[in-house]
Amino acid sequence: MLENLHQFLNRILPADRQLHITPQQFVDENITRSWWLTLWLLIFGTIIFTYTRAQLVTMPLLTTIVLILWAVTVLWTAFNEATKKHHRYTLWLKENLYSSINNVFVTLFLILLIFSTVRGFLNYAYFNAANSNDPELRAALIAHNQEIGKSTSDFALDTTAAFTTDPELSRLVGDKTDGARWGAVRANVLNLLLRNMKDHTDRLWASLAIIVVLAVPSFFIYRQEKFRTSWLRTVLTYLWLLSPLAIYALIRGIPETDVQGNGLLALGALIAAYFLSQYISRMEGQTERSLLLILIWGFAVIVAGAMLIFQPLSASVTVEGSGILAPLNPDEAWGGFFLTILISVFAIVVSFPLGVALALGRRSEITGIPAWLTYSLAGAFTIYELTNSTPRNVEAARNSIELVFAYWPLLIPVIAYLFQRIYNGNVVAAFSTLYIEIVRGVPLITVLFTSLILFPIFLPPGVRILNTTRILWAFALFSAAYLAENIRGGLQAIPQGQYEAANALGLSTYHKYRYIIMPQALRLVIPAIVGQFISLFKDTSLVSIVGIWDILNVANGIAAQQNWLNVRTEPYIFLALIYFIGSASMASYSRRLERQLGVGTR
Amino acid sequence: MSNNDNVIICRNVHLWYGDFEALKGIDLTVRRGEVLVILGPSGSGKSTFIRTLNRLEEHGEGEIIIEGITLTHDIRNIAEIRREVGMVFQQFNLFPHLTVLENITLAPIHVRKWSRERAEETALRWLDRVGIKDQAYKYPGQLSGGQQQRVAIARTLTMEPEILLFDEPTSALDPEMIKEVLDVMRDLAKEGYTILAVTHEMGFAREVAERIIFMESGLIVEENTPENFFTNPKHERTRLFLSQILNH
Repeated sequence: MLENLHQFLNRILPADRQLHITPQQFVDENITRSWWLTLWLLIFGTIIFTYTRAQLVTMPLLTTIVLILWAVTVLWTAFNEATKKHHRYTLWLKENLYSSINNVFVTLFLILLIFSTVRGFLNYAYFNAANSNDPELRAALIAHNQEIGKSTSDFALDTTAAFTTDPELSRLVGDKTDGARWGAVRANVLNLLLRNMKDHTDRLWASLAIIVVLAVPSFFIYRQEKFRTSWLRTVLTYLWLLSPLAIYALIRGIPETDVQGNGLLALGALIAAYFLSQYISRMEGQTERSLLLILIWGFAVIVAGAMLIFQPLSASVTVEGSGILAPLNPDEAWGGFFLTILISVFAIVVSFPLGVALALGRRSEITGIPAWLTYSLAGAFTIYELTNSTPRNVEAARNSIELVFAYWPLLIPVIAYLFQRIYNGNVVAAFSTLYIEIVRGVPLITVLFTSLILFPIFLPPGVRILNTTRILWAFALFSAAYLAENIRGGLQAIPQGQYEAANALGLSTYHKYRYIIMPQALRLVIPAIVGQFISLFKDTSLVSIVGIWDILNVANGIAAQQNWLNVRTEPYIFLALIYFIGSASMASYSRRLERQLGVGTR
Repeated sequence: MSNNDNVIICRNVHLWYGDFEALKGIDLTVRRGEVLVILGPSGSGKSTFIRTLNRLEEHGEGEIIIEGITLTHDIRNIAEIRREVGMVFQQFNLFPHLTVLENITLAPIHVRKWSRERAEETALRWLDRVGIKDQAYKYPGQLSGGQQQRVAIARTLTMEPEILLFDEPTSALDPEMIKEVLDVMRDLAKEGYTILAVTHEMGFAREVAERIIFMESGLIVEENTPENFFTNPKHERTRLFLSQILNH
């Protein structure tokens, strides 16, 4: 019978459009090639048929149009394929949509799925969206609520009931009730974005102005070769470096406490360390020199850090004043997407140098503390603790476990041995590795809980550090450990020859890393680093769990507002959009950066 | 001959990689302006030896004095020696993220503290000398192997070193590119640089070297003039090596 069909078709077709494939061949190749293909086509065909029939019921017109278009294009493509004479449209169709019977079905299925999804979303988000700002509707609802003896604020909860009971109301708003309640977002946009900072927009505009004023000339100065050695470029770089301070002063205000004193002390410690290390680098002996340098810089950083961290302690109790630079309490004022951005930017900016330092530290090969020194220190410490604290602890022990723990000083020699054995006494490598592994071994949420709840217990009485400050540093320090491992990966990919060439040219360690190793290593890990920053950006939403008012927490708060009781979906959709825009722009910036730096091309 | 003219003095230089002794006591004195070629089978320690001279490898026992400066752990001594000793590598080791000109000017600017103008001027002069001035603004990846090696030579020379170390500079090159690099090296030899070259180019050794050193398992087996070395080697091992190299 198929043979007859073939002959019949070829008879009625013009001579230049003869079928080059017999129907029998077609069936053999496409349907009965194997039993499982036939079975699959039967199953899949049934699914498609059922689905299409369901679609025909819910949206008859659209589905019919789709079906006709699908059938026509499939037949056209199949005919052209069989007669081996393609139009460029059918060629495209064949290559992209209708390459096999299976794909012919998949195409129909997906088109219908997309149509129904888009239609469903449009109905929800647009056509049925209840416009609570519609004054007519609002008035009607308030009137209705008064009539049935309910207070007006309940109306959001009771809209559905109102529409079903009151034909007049239903006529007024149609079927808008099962749509999105964008009013929840619209009424809270400023809350979501800024929370309490919305009362201080002048400060935000000023901060934005600083960034724009610096960004516009940067666009020209950093890109053009003629400014490469210009003083303008140097000045601009310093201004960029200073801009965080200015923005901090704007969004935080200048407390009336001794902030200048603390800041100057911190600065003084760093400058003193700089000059001391300049002096030391002229001394004899590499080991002693690096030990001294570590000691001095460690001390300076601790002093400076302490000054800067403890600085807000009395500031936090100052009352808000007026004026653009009056002190603000960040725990109160900062919130919403503004806080999300702040945490991300702070964590990224601070964790980057920390990550680089940790990565280099983990790979450092400085001469370590000699074994005799480690062991004698460890021995002295052990004996001291065994003779002092252990007898007391043994006496105080209430059970056998506490008795065992009383002998903890015995662990000190073990640690000293491991330190010598694994790290050859290299303090820098040991510290970096320990830090990275500990931080990576702890979930972020634990770090947040610890910094907010546990950490204050360890602080001396009277010292208070703002919650916001602690969260900012928690993110920065957490991110640094992951960043360090990413950067270390990049460092390991740099061939030994690059180090050797830099050494042979006499470049100092600093210049070698600054101009040769780091640029190449960082370029290699841009995708990994940006990926980490994107996930950091999204992870900031975890702070809502510990009660910080980031955008997610504000969104959750909307569901508790009287007008929008239990309205969560719409704020969450808004959040998803915001996070997507943030992440996508970071990703696209990363791609542009990769292109500019020619990753993978040279 | 005054001691000042001995720019490199090595006394009993040993080097261990863990338990393996790569250099077993090298004694060598090199005069200023001398062109020395080091030959030997692979694994004989010849590359290792010239890499100890600028501290890319750290020697154990023994003493190395370069330009009157003793090589010790002291970073300043090492830095000073590296300023006087230039090195050209087998794999070129150009910095792929910098242009040719930046590759060359980086060290003069940061090590010699030259102004950018001076460094670029000198760099372009050297690029002109090695015949690739027109490639100054390209990236190393855009150049051929021979061109890359000539950039590496220009990079080394712009630092104005007294001593040049060549570590198999032509081994990674296609045959037709070897000549362009050897020509540059020949010119440099004529100009009075002190040159130590590890190479397998026998023609170059015969023609340019003033002295040939033959190494085998971490020791100097034979020191000779090129003429005697190729026609009348003293040592049995040298003869074997030459017969393998020349009659393949």
